[in-house]
Amino acid sequence: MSTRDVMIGLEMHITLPTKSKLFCSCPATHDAEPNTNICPICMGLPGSKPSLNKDALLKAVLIAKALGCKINEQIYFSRKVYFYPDLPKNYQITQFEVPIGYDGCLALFSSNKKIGIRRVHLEEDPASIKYTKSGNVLVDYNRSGIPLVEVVTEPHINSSLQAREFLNLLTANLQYLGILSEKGHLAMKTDVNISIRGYERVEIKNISGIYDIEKAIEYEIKRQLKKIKYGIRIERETLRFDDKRKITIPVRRKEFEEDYGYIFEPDLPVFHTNHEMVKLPELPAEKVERLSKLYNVPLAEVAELVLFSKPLTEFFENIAKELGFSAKIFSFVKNTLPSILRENKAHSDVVFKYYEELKTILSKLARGEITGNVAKNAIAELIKTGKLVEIKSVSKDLSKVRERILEYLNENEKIVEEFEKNPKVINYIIGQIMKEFKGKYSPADIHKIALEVLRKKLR
Amino acid sequence: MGAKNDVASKINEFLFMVKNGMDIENYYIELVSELERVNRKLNMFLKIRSAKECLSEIKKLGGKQLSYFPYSAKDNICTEGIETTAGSKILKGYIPPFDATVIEKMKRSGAVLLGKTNMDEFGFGTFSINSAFSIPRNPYNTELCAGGSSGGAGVATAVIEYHVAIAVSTGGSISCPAAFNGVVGLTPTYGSVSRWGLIDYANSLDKIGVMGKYTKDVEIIFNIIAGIDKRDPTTNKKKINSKAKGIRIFIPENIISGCNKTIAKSFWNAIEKLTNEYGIEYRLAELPILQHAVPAYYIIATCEASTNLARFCGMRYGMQEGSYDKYFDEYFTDARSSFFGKEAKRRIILGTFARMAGYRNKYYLKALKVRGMIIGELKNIFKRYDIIATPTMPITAPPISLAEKLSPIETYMLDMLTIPPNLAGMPHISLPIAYKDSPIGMQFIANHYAEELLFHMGKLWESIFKYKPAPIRVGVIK
Amino acid sequence: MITDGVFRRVLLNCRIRLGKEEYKEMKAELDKILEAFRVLDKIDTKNAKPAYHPIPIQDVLRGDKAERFNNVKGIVSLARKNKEGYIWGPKTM
Repeated sequence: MSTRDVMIGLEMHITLPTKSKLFCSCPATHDAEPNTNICPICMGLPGSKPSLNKDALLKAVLIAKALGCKINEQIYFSRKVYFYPDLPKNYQITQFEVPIGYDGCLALFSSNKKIGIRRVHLEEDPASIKYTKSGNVLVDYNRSGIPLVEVVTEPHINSSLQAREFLNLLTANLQYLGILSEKGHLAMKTDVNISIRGYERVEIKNISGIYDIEKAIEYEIKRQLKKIKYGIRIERETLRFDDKRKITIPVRRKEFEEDYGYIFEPDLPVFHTNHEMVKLPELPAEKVERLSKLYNVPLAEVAELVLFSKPLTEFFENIAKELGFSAKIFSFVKNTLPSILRENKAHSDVVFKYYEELKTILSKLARGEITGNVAKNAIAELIKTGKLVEIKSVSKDLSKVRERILEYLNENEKIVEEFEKNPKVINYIIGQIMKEFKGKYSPADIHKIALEVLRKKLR
Repeated sequence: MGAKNDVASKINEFLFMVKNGMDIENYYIELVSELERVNRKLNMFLKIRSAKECLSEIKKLGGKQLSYFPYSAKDNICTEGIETTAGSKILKGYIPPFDATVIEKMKRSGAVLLGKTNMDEFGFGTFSINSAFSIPRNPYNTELCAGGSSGGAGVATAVIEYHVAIAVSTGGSISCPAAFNGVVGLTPTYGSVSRWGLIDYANSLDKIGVMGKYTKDVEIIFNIIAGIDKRDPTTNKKKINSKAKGIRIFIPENIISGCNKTIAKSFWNAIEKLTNEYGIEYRLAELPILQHAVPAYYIIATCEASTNLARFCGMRYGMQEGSYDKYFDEYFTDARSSFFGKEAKRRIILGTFARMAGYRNKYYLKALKVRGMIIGELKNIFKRYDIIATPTMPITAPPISLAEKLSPIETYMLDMLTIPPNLAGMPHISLPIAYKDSPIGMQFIANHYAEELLFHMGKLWESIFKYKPAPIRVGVIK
Repeated sequence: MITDGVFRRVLLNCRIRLGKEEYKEMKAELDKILEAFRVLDKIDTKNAKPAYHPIPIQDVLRGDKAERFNNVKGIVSLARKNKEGYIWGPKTM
């Protein structure tokens, strides 16, 4: 069975970062006391009527455009009727017949495989529910009416790996659009549709986090393949993902399938849209191309940084503009800086807060005046105290180094013999010398001198 | 009575008396007490405000445009702090936390809310017999219907001497009670009055309008309540030039033939009288597309209504009974089945069916297309004519006992004269033209935004025809 | 004439339960109504556009400004039962 026989389609629900809700002016914050950001509209009180948030519409067009969609010039809203305690009107205002965008695609970096985007549309979030001990719902309508953009892909994804790549790419795009912040994956919930060619489709609802989505897909593919192997029928069903046990389990079956009975939302007018309404910023695909060419760095390496973090990428671009490109800096920003931030529990915004100080440290690094370790410690200190400590550049007067290395080799004659057998021993020597000089000299310089001295000795 | 203008107007009469030192507080104390007594017989109001409430409102107002003029609001219009039921058990005890825009505007203009008028549940009906609480009675003969769905408003307008009623029409619910109670009823252009705070029946068909004793009263109130409201994105307006001379009337022959003899006779008498007096031309012709208006209307209206009423499920507000320990489907079904009346259930069922997958194209989408075609044909008529005239209702007010025996489809077909302008969102006015066992009305329809022309026609009619007061009167100043 | 199957599905979808007599009556009346509506089949709407509103209405948008409703208490007090600010409801499992 080829990978093309596994067909996966994803449906993402992305919370838009607007100030007010989609159809009313209630604050769209996420941390208020329950049932305080409510009004007659988002509570569905009789007599209330919706009114569309302009910013939400523009952001939805922006996302559709970024995903290469055709934009519908006239868009309408629909009522999708179903009964549930989290739906104040027992219908959701969404877009059924005429979405904002359709027929788009996103190409994966690694393989250039194109994942089709079937549609992009706007809809309102239902309320949030928690439960009492006896199983009754406790509803908080603060979330009711928050704007969501739904992105639906074609079932072009063939593996959990591809799903992960797609989602990373999508979240990166959304970050560069200003839609998602760094912890963005929390503002996105995904439904996964999986089928094996020739068999029924299964839906796994409401998974948060790319890791869990990957795990859910892996588990579900295994489960379906097992059923096929034993000739057990695959039912068309809805599942949910148990994030503790990392397995999929069926959701309670309804006695009947709810008919949504869509009608056009008669309280809202028709809206006209066009491509010129929004201007796209530079998106990951273009940025990776451009930076790779500009700085002559392999696409895959640039992609690593660009997809990983928008703030760090922007930081790197600014540094490179001001100081010129340095491979050392690029590597440091891509590989070391993220762990420094993580270890010190710092938000990546600090790169802008302490831009000048970081620039100073990195320029010293680029010139070889300090080691990576020194840079790392200085940055950690900066984050903790807000102050830039006095960084001692490494000394370039290497006479003392030469002296000590000669001394050391005379004290440890056996090491020279071992070096002859195994050149890697030089690293041990360098390590010892560095310890003694406590970072006063750069490892590169020590290495150079040690090699010279050793080779002389062996002649 | 010393009214300011030549044109008859109860508002101007009242304002004149206020200006000349009428004791407003005393007036309201007596009015409320009389009203409560008469209401026990006629069931016009579901809620009458106490004299105390009225007076405290009067203290807050102060010499504004409508200086303490009394008005009522149909009980599907939200009034903050005052129970609003829309005539339904499922909203018994519902106290809205906000005022409808139309109520805010009336408050600002100085009018005083007397109470909330009785109606068919959610607007579903032609005779107000579907009210969950009581049936409004025709003041001309209490065995007869008051019309619907704004039945209470119609009776109140006929009976209370100084008063206007804010009412609502979806398929004819202002015109019908206006005709049956012998008062003037204006249903304005769709979107000319904000629906913010109006408990929806059908959002693309509901219009808030006015009933009063004279055209001038209706005009004054319309100009106060009309206007763009950003809280209702369907509000819209357009200034058009109104004609005063050379008016041409179109009469659609085929639907007049559906009226009973008494109605037809009174209608033709009125048309002859009016057109002779003012040299107005009129033309008779068939308009066959109108036979599709009733089905198209009921499909669109019930589709929208079935979604509007989905929210009523015994949670969050209104009637909330029964144990929460049920599964939510059961809890919702129990609440809805217990508290919705028969006609409400019927319309929800019909509307749910007509938009269900597999039936949606044949019913819902088809009805929307038919509506488009009907509007197109009516607009064509208005290229060459200024007014379309018909009787308001094909029958006179039937006895309540008879109305209750009519089948649903028989009842729906009685809306055949009022549905076309309602479906098209075109403004129309019902004017009293005769008083038999109960009053009879005629309907003038104008093109979108042409309310001024309707007011002009109403005033022309009133200058040659004297309205009769109802046999029961409340609030008369001796 | 709609089938019992379809009628029952409609009732489930709109969460309305009818007693035996009510069911018979409602269904018979619905059939009569749909019969009368068949006049719509006679009209050709192939080239007609659906009229969602009687007057074309377009592009009414609201600026993205957050504003608290001035009577939140009035809304929450309408619910029969609250707990620590949450609104009680029936069960979903």
